[in-house]
Amino acid sequence: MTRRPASARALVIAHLFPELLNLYGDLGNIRVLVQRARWRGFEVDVRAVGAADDASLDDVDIVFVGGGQDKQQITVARSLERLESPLVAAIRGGASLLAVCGGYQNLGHRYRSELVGDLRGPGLLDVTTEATSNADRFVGGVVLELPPDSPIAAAGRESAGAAGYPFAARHLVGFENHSGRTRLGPGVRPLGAVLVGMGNDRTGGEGAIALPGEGGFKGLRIGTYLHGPLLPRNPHLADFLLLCALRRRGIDELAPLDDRAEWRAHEAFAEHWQAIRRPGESKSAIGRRLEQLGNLLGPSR
Amino acid sequence: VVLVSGTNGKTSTTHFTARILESAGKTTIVNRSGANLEQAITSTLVSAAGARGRLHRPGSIAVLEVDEAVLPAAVRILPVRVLVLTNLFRDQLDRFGETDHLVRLWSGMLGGLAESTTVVWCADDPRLTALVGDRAGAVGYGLRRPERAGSTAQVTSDVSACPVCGVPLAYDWTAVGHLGAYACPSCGFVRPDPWLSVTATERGFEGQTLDLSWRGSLADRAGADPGAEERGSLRVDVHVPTLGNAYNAAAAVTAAAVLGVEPPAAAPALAAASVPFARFETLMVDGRRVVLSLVKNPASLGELTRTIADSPASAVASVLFVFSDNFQDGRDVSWYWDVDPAPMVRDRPFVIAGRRAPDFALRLKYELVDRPGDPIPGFLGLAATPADGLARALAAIPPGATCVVVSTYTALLALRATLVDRGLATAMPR
Repeated sequence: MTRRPASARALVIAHLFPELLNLYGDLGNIRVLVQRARWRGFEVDVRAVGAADDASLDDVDIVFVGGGQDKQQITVARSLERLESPLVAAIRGGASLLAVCGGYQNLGHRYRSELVGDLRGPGLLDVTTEATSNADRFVGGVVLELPPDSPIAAAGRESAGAAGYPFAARHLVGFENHSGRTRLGPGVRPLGAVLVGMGNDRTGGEGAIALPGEGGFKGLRIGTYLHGPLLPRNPHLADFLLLCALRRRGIDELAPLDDRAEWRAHEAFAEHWQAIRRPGESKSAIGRRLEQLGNLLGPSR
Repeated sequence: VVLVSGTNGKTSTTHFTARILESAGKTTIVNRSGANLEQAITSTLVSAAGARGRLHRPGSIAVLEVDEAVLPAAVRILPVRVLVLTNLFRDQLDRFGETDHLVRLWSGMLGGLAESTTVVWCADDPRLTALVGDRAGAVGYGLRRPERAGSTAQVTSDVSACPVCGVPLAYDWTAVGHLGAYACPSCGFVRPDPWLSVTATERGFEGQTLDLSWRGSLADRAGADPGAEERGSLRVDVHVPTLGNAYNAAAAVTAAAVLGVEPPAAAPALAAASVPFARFETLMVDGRRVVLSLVKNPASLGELTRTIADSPASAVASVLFVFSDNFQDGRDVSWYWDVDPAPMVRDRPFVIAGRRAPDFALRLKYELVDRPGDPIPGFLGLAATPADGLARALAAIPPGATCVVVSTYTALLALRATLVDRGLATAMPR
């Protein structure tokens, strides 16, 4: 009998609450992770974990939580009370977390809105969110600048360059649609600095990230308002999530893919929304804005 | 005044209702081509009012489609005799915020509605039923189990939960998205028996046969009583394809019945009705047939996917996708990740155009490419403009064959205008 290499085990992606949090094309994120892993020869097993399920999360590599509406977020908060300890254990143990929009709000310390009241979360991300009235929603395309040392940018530098977009991997693009205002604690830093759009609370940052090993969690943790969906147009982020999952089994590199279509869509989206939300702003003006925001991107504790 | 609102089917339902009323000798005032925001409605009424500023010509009926968010204001201002609510799908979240928000708006609106207004609603939509089902005199319509019924609601969570108690609904069948025969396993909330029921037998893009049955006259409102027995039935062949249009026809027949035009009197107008602008309109371009079809949310894309995937290559030879994201289209184009559009193009060539073309190309790449580096099978490329895209999609097929254009709203308007300007397009008579 030959011993199966550790990498032969299928990657397990847990999609939490797919019946409750799946607006805005969230399924696209799962689809992209699955295909990009399969294209590199890895088997992938997608596991739907519903609000009423008692699923084990022991063998999970990536946890994805999508966006929903206030009403569903109440149910999610209730289910999270039950799922909290296996979920926290999985991510402490090395599973990676991507939480989008409603999921981002639910997985922080708390989410408060007029409709749902005060919802407690597991604090997997060191953030708190307060919703404003529906009239003050942040809606539109977003372009983020990743920090200079970002491992996400590093994961896409080559494929973006090969596609003819040498700087694209320094950015994330997505669509925001939220009335929540999210404040970050010291345990996370912003995922990126907002070049176009509003972000967490209009103070310059969007999303929250804690890298593997930070805060006592071996797993990567990312929360963000960006959907659209997020991963198809951000192949570097998709690959970084896969890399974090595969490193646990000794795989440090992913075979390069032809991502010309992805980067093309990424760039077209960025240009389109820059023209709509920041008309007339030249590159140098954005550069100045970046400098002002630079101190936001310092390392987290 | 008849108002028609809901996510999908406003324009077609308005169109069918007006044709039926006109065939019964009524004069109608209609807002055309999806112009359903405040300004467009006002200008429709102003231009109909004439020099004296008086709207009421004896016997004339305004049939107006109204944007969902504008509806509460329209209901307050206009003397509404019939309010038709077609469905609530997830649509244009960027404009309305969340669908729940819209439900709350409508709930308030219905609470303040005059007793003289009769609500006509799609009983297959659980959220509409929860909103209007208990209203005295409300008249429901619905389908009977379609031939190719689904068994679960399309997965979007905003509608799969019981609107009363929040538990996931159980479905006997679904027709379009979450429209179907639902029941809540927990609180007993269940689809009521509608006044009008329709069995649709589809014939691809050619049209369908509708078997209608209803429970009695609505003249004294007794017919709306769930206990009333089936009183009539008839069969009508219509030119318009898809189950979505079966719903629209049912809505129009029901609305007309409330106004005293019984289904037998409505049938001839329905059979003769062509489609309103861009709803499966057929044009001849360079000796090939071009079918214009509008998509705007997962429900309409899923419905179209099913219809095209079920069509042989002889019926649909190529596809042109055009995706734009102007304000009227909805700025957020993420919804096409919630359905799998790939079955449309598994056996036929396709071109992608429009400002969001690179995004939609990705959508198909992630369904259709099995090995890394392979090209997307069937993909003829991105086109700079919709008109160029059409030229390429037509060049790939022989004369006499059909290309279906699958497009968002503003791009479809623009494409059609371009074709007319160039003299390439002539409407094909039915």
